[in-house]
Amino acid sequence: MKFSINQSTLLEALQNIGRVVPTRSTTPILENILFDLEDGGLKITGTDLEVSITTRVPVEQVDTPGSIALPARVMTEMIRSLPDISIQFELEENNKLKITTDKGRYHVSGLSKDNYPEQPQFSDAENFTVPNQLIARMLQKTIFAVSSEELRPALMGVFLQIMPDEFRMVATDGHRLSKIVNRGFKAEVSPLKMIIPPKAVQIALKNLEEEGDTELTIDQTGLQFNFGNTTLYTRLVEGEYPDYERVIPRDNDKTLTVDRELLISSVKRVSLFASALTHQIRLELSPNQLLVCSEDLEVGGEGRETLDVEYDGEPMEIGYNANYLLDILRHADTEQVVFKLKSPVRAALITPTAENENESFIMLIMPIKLG
Amino acid sequence: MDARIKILPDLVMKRIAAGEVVERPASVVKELLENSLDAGASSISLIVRDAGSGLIKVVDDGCGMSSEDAALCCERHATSKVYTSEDLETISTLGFRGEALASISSVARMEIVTCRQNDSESSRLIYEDGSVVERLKTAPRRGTAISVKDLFYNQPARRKFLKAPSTELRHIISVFRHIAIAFPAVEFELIIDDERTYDLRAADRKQRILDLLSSAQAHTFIPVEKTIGSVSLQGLISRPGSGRKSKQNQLFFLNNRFITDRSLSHAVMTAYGTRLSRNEYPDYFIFLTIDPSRVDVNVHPTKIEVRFLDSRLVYDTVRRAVADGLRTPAVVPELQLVPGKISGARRAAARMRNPEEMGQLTLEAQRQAVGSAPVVDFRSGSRERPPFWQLHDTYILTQIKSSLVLIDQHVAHERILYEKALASLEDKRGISQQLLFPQSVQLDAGEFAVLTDMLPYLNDIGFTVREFGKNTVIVEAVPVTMKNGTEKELLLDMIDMYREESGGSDAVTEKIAAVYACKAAVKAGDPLTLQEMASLVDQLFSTKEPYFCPHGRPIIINLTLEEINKKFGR
Repeated sequence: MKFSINQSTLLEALQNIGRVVPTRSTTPILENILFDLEDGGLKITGTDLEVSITTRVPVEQVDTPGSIALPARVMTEMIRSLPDISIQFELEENNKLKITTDKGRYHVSGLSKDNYPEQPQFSDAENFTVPNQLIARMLQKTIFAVSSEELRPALMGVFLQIMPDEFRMVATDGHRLSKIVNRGFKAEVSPLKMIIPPKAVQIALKNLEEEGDTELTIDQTGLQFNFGNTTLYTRLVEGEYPDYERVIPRDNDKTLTVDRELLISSVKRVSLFASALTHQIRLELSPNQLLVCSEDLEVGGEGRETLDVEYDGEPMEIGYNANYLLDILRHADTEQVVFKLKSPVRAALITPTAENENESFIMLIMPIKLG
Repeated sequence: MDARIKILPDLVMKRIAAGEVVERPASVVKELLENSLDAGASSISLIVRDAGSGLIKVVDDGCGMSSEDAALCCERHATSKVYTSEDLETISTLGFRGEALASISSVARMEIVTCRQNDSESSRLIYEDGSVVERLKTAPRRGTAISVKDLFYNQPARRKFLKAPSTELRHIISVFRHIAIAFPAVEFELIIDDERTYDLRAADRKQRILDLLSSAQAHTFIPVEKTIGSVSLQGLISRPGSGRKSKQNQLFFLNNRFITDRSLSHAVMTAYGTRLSRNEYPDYFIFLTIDPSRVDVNVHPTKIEVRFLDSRLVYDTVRRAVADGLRTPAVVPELQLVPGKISGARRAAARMRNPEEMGQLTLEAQRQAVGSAPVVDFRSGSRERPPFWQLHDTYILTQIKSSLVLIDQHVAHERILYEKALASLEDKRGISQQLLFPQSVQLDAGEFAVLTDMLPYLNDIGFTVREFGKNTVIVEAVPVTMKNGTEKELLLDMIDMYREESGGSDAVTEKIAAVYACKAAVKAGDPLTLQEMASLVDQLFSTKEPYFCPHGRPIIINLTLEEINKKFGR
C-alpha cells in the first residue's frame, strides 16, 4: 500500500469522518479510522457502531491495494497542521505507516484491518431517490424536537413515514412536537416507516448538497444515504413510534397571530429573568395584546413586555418553557406565526401563516401549568 | 396479737430507702463526686476497685467538714445544702436531699477522713450500718476522702443482682465522664484497679470533651449557642456524616447536672432531620442554663430526670440551636489525604474550615456561570479554560481560591429538587409540565393502595395523576423540574421507596419530597453539559442546605491546595 494525496483533499475527508468517530470509547478501536486503498482511490471509514461514514478520495496510487486502521485524532491533527502539499503514504511492516512530505518523514503505528468492525450488510434492501432540498428541509424542521431521553428510545429519532401520496417526518420529546408533510413528492418505494437517530440526521444535513438528489438504501435495520463519494450508514432506532396524530388537537378555537421576530426577541429578553430551573415564562393574552412575562422567585428578577398582536379569544394566561417556545418560533419561517389555543393546560398548535406548495407544517407545544 | 402491721426497725428502713438512691456502684460514685463538687473542690480523684463492689474512694480538696458535721452527715436528711423549704425552689447545688451518705453508710462499710482549711487535725470516722463506730484524729490534709468498701455486704440479694463487673464499670465510667464534662474547670483523675484511666487537667468545655473522647471520635464539632427567653444553651454537636452508631455521646446537662430527657433528644434529632443517614447517631453535648426556679429536679432521687416549667420553650431552644449550627458553612466536609489511602469523605469530614471560602464559591460559581454562556466544546481544542469539569460523569469539579471542590451531581440535584418539592408541598403551587402523551401506568393492588395515599401530595408537587380504571393511573403532567420522559419509572420507583420508608418519623411531606428528589435527580453516570453543570452549581448554592443531601450524604467535598501540595511533597 503506497499512495500520495493532496493535503486539502485528505483533510476535508478526515474532518467529515471525524464527526462520527468517538473521542473516548470503551471500544478503543473505534477511535481509529480505516484506510482502504482500492483500485482507483482511497476509502476512509469511521464508525461508532451506530453510524458509519465512508468517503472515497482520489489518490495517486503507486502500489498494491492494502488496508490499515489509524488513530483518528493523531492523523487529523497531523494532516491539519500541514500546508496544502502532496503527501506520500507507505505501509511498512508491523502496521507502521510512513508519511513523507518534501521536508519531513513520520511514522504512525496502526492496527490491522482485522481489528476494525465490519460494515453492516443490507438484506432485502430497497433504494429510492429524494431531492436534496426536500429531505434537508424536512430534517431541519423536525430534528430540534427529538428527545434525548433514553428511557423512551422510540422518541430518540426523527420518524420518517412514506405513504403512497405523502412523505412525512415527525419528531417529539413528549413536550413539543414537529410534523412536516409533503404531498408533492412521490417516493418510488413501498410504504415504510423508520426512526432515524439524530446523530445521523446531523451528519446527513452536513453532507447534503444544496442541489440534486440523494439515493437512500433501506432495510429493516438500517438506512444509508449515498452522497456521491460519501456514504452515511445508520442503524435505525427500534421501537414503535407513538400515535402522534391522536394528540394533535383539532378543536383549538382561539387564534393568536403574532410577528415572529418580535416575539422571539421578547421571549429571549424576558426569559433571562425566568427561573434557571424551569425556564418558565407566562403569556397573558387579552384582545389584541400579548403580555410576555417571567419572574424568578429565588433570585427576585422579573421581566414584562407587551406586544401588539391579533387575538380575538377570551383573556387567558398560559405558561411555557421559553426554550421550547424559542425553538418552535425559530423553525416557523414566515414573518408571522399563528397559535391555535384551547386552554392553559392543552397543547398549542403553532403554524407559519403561509404554507409552501404541497407542504403542511405544524408544531405543538405543551404548556406548563401555572401553580 | 391482731397487730400485723408494725413499724419497721430503723435499720431496715434505712436499707430500703438506701435502695432508692444506691442502686449500683455507679450511684455511689455519682453521690460522692457531687458532694465533692458541692464542697468546692478543684481537684478530685476517684479510685475504684473490683468494679466498685470492692472499693470506691473519692478524694477531694474541698472545704471539708468539722468533726461534728462528719458525725452527723450520715443521718437521714442531714444536709448542709438546703435549710428551708424555700431553698428547694432555688436549688443550686448538685445534692440537696440529705440522703446520700446516710444511704451509702447503711449498705457499705464507709470511712470519712475530712479536714477544713484551718483545722489542726483531720477527723477520721468509721461507720457501720449507718452509725459511727470509731472516731480517730489524723494528720491534717485539707478536703475530704470518703471510702466505700464492700458495697451491699449486708444485702446479699442486691449484691447478687449487680450486673457483670464490666457493665458496672461502664456505668461508673459514664457517671465520671458526665461529671467531668459538666465541670471542666475541676481536675479529675480516675484510677481503676490501680491503673490511671483518666487524668484530666482543668480545661475549657470543648477541650475537656475532646480529652475524654478517644482519638477516633475526636472529629471536630460545631459549636452551637442560643438564648431564647429564660433558656440559654451552649454546646457542641457533631457534623452530620461523622456521627456514630451509638447514642453514648448524646448528652444533656442542665445547670451543670447531667440529665436525660427524651423530648430534648427528639428536638436534636428533628433538627438534624434528613441530614443523618439511617442508623447514624450524632454526638452532642448540650448545656442548658435555666433559672432553677423554672425547673423541678426533685422528680427522682437520682435527679437525672427533670421537669421543665417551660418545656415547649426548652424544646424550641434546643431544636433551633442545633438547626442553626447545622446551617453554618463549617459543616462542609473536607477531603483529607491520608498518606497511602484516601479515606472516605464521611469519616474525613473533619477539620473546621474557613467560612469565607464557601462564600467565594458561590460568587465564583455565579460569576463563572454568567461568563460561560457560550458552550465551550472540549473537543474543538478551545483555549478557554472551562469553569467546570465532569469526572466519570458523576462528580462536578471546580476550583475556588486555594482549593479544588468536588460536587456529587446526584446528591446536589437531589437537594435542589427536595427543597423545590417541599416548597411546592407547602404552598400547593407545584408547577407542572403537561404531557403530550399521557402515560398510563398499570400497578398491582398493593402499589395502587400506596399510590392512593401519595396522590394528593404528588399533585401538590406538580404531578397530575388520575385514577383510570382498576389499579391503573394516568399521568397527565409532571413537575417541571423533572427530567423528560421518565414518568412511569419514576412513579414506580417512588411507590417502592415510599413503601420501604413508611413508618419513619418524618412528616409525609418530607418523605414525599425526599422520594421524589432521589428518584427524579440526575444520576451518577449521566453526562452533563457545561451549562447544566453551571446551572446545577448555581441552584445548589441557592438552597438552604447546599452541603448535605436529604439523606445526609455530603454534597460538596473540598480538597485544599495545601493538602494537594503536601501530597506532592512541595
